[in-house]
Amino acid sequence: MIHSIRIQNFRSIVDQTVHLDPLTVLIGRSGTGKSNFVDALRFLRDCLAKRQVDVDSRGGVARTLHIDHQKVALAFTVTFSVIGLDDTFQYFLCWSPDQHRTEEWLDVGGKKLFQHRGAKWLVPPNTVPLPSPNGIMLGAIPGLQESTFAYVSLRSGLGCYDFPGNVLAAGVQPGSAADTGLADNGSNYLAVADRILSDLAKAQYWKRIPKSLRTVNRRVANLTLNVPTANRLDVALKTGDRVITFDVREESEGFRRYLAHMLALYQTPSKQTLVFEHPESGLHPGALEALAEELRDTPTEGRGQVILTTHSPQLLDRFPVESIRVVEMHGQETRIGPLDADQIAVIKDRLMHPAELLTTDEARAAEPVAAG
Amino acid sequence: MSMTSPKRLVAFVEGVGDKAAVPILLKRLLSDWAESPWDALFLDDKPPFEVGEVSNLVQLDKATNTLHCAEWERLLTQAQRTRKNLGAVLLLLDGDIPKVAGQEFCPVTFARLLADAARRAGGGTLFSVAVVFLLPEYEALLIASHESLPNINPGAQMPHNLEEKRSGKGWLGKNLKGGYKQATDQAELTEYLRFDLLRERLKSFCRLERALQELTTAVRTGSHIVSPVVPPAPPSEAAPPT
Repeated sequence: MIHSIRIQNFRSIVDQTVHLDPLTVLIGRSGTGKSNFVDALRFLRDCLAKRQVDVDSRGGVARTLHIDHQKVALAFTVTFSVIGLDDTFQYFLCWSPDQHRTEEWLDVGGKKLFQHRGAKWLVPPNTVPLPSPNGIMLGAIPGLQESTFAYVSLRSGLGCYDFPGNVLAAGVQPGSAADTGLADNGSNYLAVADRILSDLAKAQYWKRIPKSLRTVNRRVANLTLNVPTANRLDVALKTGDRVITFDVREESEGFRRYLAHMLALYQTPSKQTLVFEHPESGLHPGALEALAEELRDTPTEGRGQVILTTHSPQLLDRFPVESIRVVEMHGQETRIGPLDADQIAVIKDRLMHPAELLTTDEARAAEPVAAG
Repeated sequence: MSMTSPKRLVAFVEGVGDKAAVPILLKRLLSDWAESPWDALFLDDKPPFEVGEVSNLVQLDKATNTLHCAEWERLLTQAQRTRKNLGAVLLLLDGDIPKVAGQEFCPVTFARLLADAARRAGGGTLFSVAVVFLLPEYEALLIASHESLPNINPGAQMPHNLEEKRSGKGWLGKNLKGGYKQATDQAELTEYLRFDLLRERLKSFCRLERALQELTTAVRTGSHIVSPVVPPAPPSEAAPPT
């Protein structure tokens, strides 16, 4: 679970430390930087996968760094824990645009395990032979197990989902789900479904999915994967006395989007952190309560931390007020913080509903605590 | 026996899970009675009104610092317009909320407040209204009848003082094989409730059953009521002794 992330100089974010809970809900007007926050997480994960800071993947320096800080370094500091391990991890990754140089370090339980700046070790890892620093070294230092755990947690353990309208309907990517789990666009859903079904110890997960889908379409009887080829996912619908099956690709957008969320939430192995952008899109309001319950229960059932963005008053009403973070734009800068204490108090007193933070009395971030 | 045709019983409930579960509960419970209520009432064939928690129905008037229930009155008027032959309304909500409109939540006080407010929308004259809070929440019914639920873990221990605040959903999640999701499992499990256990173990269930009996009698006799009844205000201290 990511406890906090400090993002420096990424798009509209100049320098923000965001504290995250097992369930965190980001709200704010369009254009305030919610998606930039999510993309910062995705960018960090993708850099780890490529073993280099690839600003070209975000349109180059001009598009990746803050418009007023084009010569300042881009940096991430992530404080996180790994399920099953006691120590707190802290990972720092920095990239300077002038020298195109990468600096990174990993601290576990208060002890710095390695640090390098460019090709020079500042704190060499206690391993032999000592590799030469080249690009991103996290997870690539033989003999340093914690580095591997940290790498897996931040790379394959992080899913960032913003499902398109044609999710589960577009061309299927047959690729394996073993390495990275459900793809960001859901394109490898057949492999993910196959993997959930293959783990019979978690058969309950598979039974949960059609049950939850009934909140979208009451006629859903079950969900079947065409085994062993796993080339088709069918939805069985009760129609009178008969059960008719349809390829999931033929289903409505709302149905497919809901199913994509369920596959993300129940994929196996579970993600450490699941990020969803606007999960309410395309869904009938009647399905939002079931979706909110699934999102709320995922961390408590040990299937990963959940971070989401929403513009939906109905969905926001179904989350605890403490989980809300407000995203605001101050001048050209994104600021992200907990909800204003007065607004928290009136919601707790039931004088206001969380939904009204998006309508009647717009959400305000708490004033940052002055340093010193 | 009723001298007129049966009237519609409309339920107002909290969430999606209740919307599916409460019609099942009411149908089973009313069918369980020795004296059938169906000559007086029939269960609404449309889904119940989903109103969210009680704080959606009660607002604070800041000018007078008093509570009012304009939203509840609006919804009752709506029910009267959209549900032909309305005879009775049952508002059935969870009582696990700490505060409403800035005030400590007390189920008796708020049930009386809502029942009284219903009069302004025709409750007690044109149709009958009962307000019931399940304590602490609907899941208490499932826990109180856990022996009859399918997929219950053998040896599941019912918590003491069921009607005190505790997480019923958490208990069910732990003790039902496959876990518990309110939105999808509540209705299915309601089919398995044993009413004898609920009558023995849950006061708020007994209150629900009494309220349904009151509604049936009121509709049958044509003497509409609101329940619970608001007690008359105590005599003023300034009033002369009688």
